[in-house]
Amino acid sequence: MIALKNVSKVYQTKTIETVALNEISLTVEEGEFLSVMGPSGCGKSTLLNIMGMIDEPSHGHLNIGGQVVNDYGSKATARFRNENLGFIFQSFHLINDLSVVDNVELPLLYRKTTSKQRRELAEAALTKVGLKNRMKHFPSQLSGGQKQRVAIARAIVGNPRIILADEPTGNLDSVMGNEIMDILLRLNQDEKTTIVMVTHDERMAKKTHRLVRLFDGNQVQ
Amino acid sequence: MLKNYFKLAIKVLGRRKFFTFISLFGISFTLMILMLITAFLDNELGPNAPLSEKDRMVFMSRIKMTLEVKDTIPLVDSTLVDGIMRYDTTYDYSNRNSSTSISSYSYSFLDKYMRKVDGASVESIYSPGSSFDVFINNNKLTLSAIYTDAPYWSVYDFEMLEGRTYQPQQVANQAQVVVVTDKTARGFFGRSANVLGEMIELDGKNYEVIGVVKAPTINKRFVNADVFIPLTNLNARNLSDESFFGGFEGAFLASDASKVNRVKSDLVRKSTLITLPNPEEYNTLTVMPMDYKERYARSIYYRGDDPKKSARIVFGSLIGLLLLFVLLPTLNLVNVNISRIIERSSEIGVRKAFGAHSGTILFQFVFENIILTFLGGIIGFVLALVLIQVINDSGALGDAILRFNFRIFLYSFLICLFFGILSGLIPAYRMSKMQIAKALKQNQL
Repeated sequence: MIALKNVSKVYQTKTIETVALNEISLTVEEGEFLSVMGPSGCGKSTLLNIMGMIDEPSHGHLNIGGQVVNDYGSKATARFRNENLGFIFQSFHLINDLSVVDNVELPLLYRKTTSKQRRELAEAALTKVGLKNRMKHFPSQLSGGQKQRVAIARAIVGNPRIILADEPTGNLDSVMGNEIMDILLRLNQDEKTTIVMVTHDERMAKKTHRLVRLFDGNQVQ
Repeated sequence: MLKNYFKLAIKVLGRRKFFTFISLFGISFTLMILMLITAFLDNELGPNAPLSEKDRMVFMSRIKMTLEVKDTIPLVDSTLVDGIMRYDTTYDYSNRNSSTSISSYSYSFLDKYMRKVDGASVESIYSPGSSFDVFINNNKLTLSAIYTDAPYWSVYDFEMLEGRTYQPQQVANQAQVVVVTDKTARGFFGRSANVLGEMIELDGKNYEVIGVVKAPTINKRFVNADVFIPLTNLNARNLSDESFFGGFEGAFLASDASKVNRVKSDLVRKSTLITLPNPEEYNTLTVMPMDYKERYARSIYYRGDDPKKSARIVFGSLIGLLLLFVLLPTLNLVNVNISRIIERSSEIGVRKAFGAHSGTILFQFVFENIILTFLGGIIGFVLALVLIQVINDSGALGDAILRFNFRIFLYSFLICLFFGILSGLIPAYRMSKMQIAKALKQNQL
């Protein structure tokens, strides 16, 4: 489903060259739930960003669903992300000025859909994460776990093949973290969605199919 | 999508109340001034009665006569060649203006030489600038008057409130009739209606009021008067005087706006055919036909014989000043907008991550800014209406009465749109190019 071949990411300033990722070659199979672990600054988020096409590799190739995608133009990249990828962030990144349902509808704004279709799909996604009764609320009225569930609903509303989750339980207590993890596991099992999750939590990583460890930009497991 | 942007724009404005207040204050004040200027310019230059046909008008208000004398200036150059001084003399023949007179035209000049002008459908001769003192209940009232021919009423489309204007036959017969403005009727008879048949004594002659027109709301001497009198009531000498100088001017209505230049060139051509009666006094004659804009510009900035140059300078400066006036608050708003949008960089990151491309983001922020500008525009519009009322009531602009019409509303709408796009585009463009990963590192939403 996702294949990285010799992917490197180097941050260059006038004086320093920082290697965030070094020659990573990795394949994620369709329907797989992969977790990525490693200490802070080892390149986990950079790897996820490259897989999500929101950052470009300095070298190497990214192949998603059989297509080499790192040569796409900006419009084609945006469209590809919209149709194939869903993102979940550690700090939720909900838009506080929009209601829960408007937040969930956001990815659908960038496709040809009617407002009625958007509302129906957003309601369905919120039902999946158990927040249908909170549609009209605003993010500031929700707990951390609820916010992350809204973020998951937003990630799945467009029915993407891949979900990329950057420490989705990082800001939550263990009970809420488990709830979020259960939702992700269910998505993976029921919908066969491919999930790549960056985490610091060994317990969560153990629940996934496979674990990749990074250290100083290198894959060590 | 637009509904979503609109909801968000309103939310963002409500969230940052102080910023919204500062922005709206700046925008509404700027737009109020621009709307006021638009209303003023529309009153001055727009197609409003009695000058609805401004773009077809050609004026002959000034004639210039010059006595040019040839001057011979010898230039003597001396050189020493083989011990002998040699002299080389050259002569420079040039024209020297020994006297120049500029005046308005005599009736006979316009009547004799400036008739049947190519491209003109109406030709009128009139004499503005007369005034009469009249006494009502021991109060002195000064009435300004214009002596006109009958076609005057076809060139200038006054709004007729009562009665009618005088006809060619009445002018030819020296009929002692007048047309007055509603303002005059109020001042003279104490009412602006039912004054037909009333008499006004001017300069010892009794005139019957046959029509009432709406007083023009523009300060132009060729239409701004209290009474209009058939020009044959002038002293006969005024009409028969063969001199070129007098107290008259001509107005020509081109059959359509594209023929204005044809009318102007034909007037100039006709002037070249005139044999000057007394070349010892003046040997050059220059007529200066002008269209409305040239005449308007010339009244602000006199630039010799070249009304075109006056128009270029006046309207160029006006456009420059207006642009400057729009540019300064725009730059200020650009700055405010940049800081406002930076606060929302993480939102931009999320939107891009979920499929928005730079163009979509650009559109969203420009759209939001246009909404802000239009809110400011509505406030500015209300403020401008109040200010216009205050200006009109105070009489600060003389007879000029500013008012809003659909045209001004349209211009105001375009100004708002231009202002909104201009001030939103630069910050929106900058932010739309932001890298997603970098934008997402900002946690404020």
